[in-house]
Amino acid sequence: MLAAERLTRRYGAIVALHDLTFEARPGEVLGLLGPNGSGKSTTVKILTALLRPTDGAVTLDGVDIFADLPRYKSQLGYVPEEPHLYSYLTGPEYLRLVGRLRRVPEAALDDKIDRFMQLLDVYDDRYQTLSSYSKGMRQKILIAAAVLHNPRIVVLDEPFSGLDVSAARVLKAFVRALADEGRIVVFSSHVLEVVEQVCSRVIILKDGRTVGHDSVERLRATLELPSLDAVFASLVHEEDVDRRSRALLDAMKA
Amino acid sequence: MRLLFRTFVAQFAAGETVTSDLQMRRAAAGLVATVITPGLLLLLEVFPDYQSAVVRVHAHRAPPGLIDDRLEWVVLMLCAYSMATVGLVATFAWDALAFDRRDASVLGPLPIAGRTIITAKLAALAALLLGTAAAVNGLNAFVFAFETSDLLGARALVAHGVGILVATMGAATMVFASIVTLRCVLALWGNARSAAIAGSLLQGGFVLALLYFVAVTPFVASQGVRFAISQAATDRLPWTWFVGLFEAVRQSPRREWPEFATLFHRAALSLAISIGAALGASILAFRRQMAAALTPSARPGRLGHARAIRALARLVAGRDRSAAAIADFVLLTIARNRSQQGYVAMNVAVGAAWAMIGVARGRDAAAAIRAAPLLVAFWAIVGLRAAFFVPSELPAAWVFRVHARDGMRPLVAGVRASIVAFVLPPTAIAAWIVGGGTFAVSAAAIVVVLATASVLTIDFVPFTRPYVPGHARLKTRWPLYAIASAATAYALPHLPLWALVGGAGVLYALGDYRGRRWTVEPSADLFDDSTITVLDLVGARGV
Repeated sequence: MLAAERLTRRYGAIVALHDLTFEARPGEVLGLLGPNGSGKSTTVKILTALLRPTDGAVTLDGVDIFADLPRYKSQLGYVPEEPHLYSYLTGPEYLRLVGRLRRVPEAALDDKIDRFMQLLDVYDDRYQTLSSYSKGMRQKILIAAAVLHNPRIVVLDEPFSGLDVSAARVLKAFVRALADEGRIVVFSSHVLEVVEQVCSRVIILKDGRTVGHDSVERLRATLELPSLDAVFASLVHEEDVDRRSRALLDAMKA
Repeated sequence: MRLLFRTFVAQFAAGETVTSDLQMRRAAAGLVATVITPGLLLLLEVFPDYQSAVVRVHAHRAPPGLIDDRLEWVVLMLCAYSMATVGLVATFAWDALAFDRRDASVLGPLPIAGRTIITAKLAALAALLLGTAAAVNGLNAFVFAFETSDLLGARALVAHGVGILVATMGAATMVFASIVTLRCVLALWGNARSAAIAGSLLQGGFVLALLYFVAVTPFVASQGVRFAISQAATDRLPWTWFVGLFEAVRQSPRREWPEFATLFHRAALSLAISIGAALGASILAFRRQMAAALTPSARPGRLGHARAIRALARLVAGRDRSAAAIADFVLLTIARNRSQQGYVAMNVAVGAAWAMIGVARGRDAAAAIRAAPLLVAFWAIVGLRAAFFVPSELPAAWVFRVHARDGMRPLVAGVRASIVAFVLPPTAIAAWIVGGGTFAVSAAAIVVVLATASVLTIDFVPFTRPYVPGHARLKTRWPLYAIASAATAYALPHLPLWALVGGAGVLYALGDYRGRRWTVEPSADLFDDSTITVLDLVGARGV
């Protein structure tokens, strides 16, 4: 089990995360939801050991992840929010770099890469450099790189960004299947519909604090609201959407 | 129009190594100082020879034509110097010499006429040419005019000054326009990879030309070997043509000699053709990029795969798969990125120039020839090391932080393997040609020693750190580089093979130990973008 205990992250005087505590269990998809600046990305970066928390700890099976970082990393797959890749490499070259860094056996690596490229519909572009890939194609390469080594924990930050409808449907099912196999999946997104379809439990963040933490059904039932969209609006106290859109129109015309 | 012009001018110095206006100005000043210094050395070398001719003529010990002969020789060298330096500066701005896909995709949707964009680009190119050519040739023309019009009066002063300025600026314009044409042609019919490789090769070639020319040409002039120079051959060399232009501008009687008239016509024709070609190619390249603004870019191309070198690197890395991955990454980055190639090409050119100067001016030509492969190998490794400090797509460096799960030693092994695979084969082949099999083995061992030693000075994954200007400390450490270079070429080959292998072993063990201190973690600041998000939140929500 992956557990975050009283995570706090400060940037100078600004507190990006405040006393965040949650668990991600095998067999479930834990959703991180929140408006811009709510602390989702900071949480993801701490879970992937890209940032250290100012206070608190992340543990895997009771052991602090920073105590044996190489071991933790070997079990982790990560899809970042921004598809920053070495654009002068081809798709297979990038996956080979990742596979070798991950020590995927050489005999299996090329076959695995070919299968991923085919299944993700990017095989025909295998000789093109990543600079010519669309955002969706890059996203597929990132997803393949994240699971190439058969990880136990998968952290996905806006993984469907730029994907076409059919690829997004396949990958939603894939994320569910990862959890069904007993892996720990953490899923961060702005897209409420996707979170509602994919996640078993959600944590709703606002200003670095947890404002909601339960399954989608129970959140809806507790707040007596018809959808996750309404739950979200209620918990993060979104201001009047119509008023803001009218203000935007006024600003545009000024 | 003015904004576009400024933007295009700024593109000439853009890159991941120049991240502020201050750095850009420093880089520009450094480049100008680097190309002007050889010109000053050249003046010091050529004018004593000219003055001795003047003295001999005035003492009636030589025919009067000798002064004009020497004058033309000086003009020839200043024209060649002008071409080499302006060509070198143009290759530094290689990527920005033609329109590219990014220009098209940014400017295409804006309501700006194509004519305005092309005019702004051509004006920026002209500004680069004039700025560089004036900086390179202005002082030389001033010194030349005063030095060569001594005793001849004010009219000669003006004629010589204007003549040399027109000739050297004309030579610079021809080479600059030719490089712009080549860049545009590669943008039209080549691909990004071929353009990158051509740019790096030209950059190395111009460094080599500049160093070799400054060191060797005056030597040829002073050794009285000009009788061996064939007029038929030299008349075909572009820098010779501008001597004809000089004679025409200063209204010398020699301008009517058939050979000078031919040179003048060639200079005028080549100038007209090169400028016309550059204008035409720029316009065509703009139209082509506008038409193909958002189409996918090309495949890497055969050279961009570097298959043989990568296979060798994997072999050297052994069974360590992470080391093989790092070696692959290093070699693919070098093979496909012009910023990194440029550092390697320029340093190889320095080594080649040093070797050629040694052969031309050294006392023992045989020893100088044997030293040549090792000099080039040493500077190639210096160039590779310098290239490692140049970032490549910095935001993508997260891949090492997330995916590299092993200790740091594989990274040391990977970088060492990539250096060995890159430098060893050509060095061993060249050493075998100049010194036979035993010398080739010795040279290979020396390359391994150098590669292993060089890895000791690097403590991060190549290309994954923000660029720190002056990391090589060339200003203060150049004697160290010079001594190490000479020791590599002239002392190390005298060591027995067992000593070289033993030395490599000790350095290998040191590298292995140091490997534990390596970092695969690019600066944590790279991942701290959420700071900005939080600040936005504060502003928006009033927290």
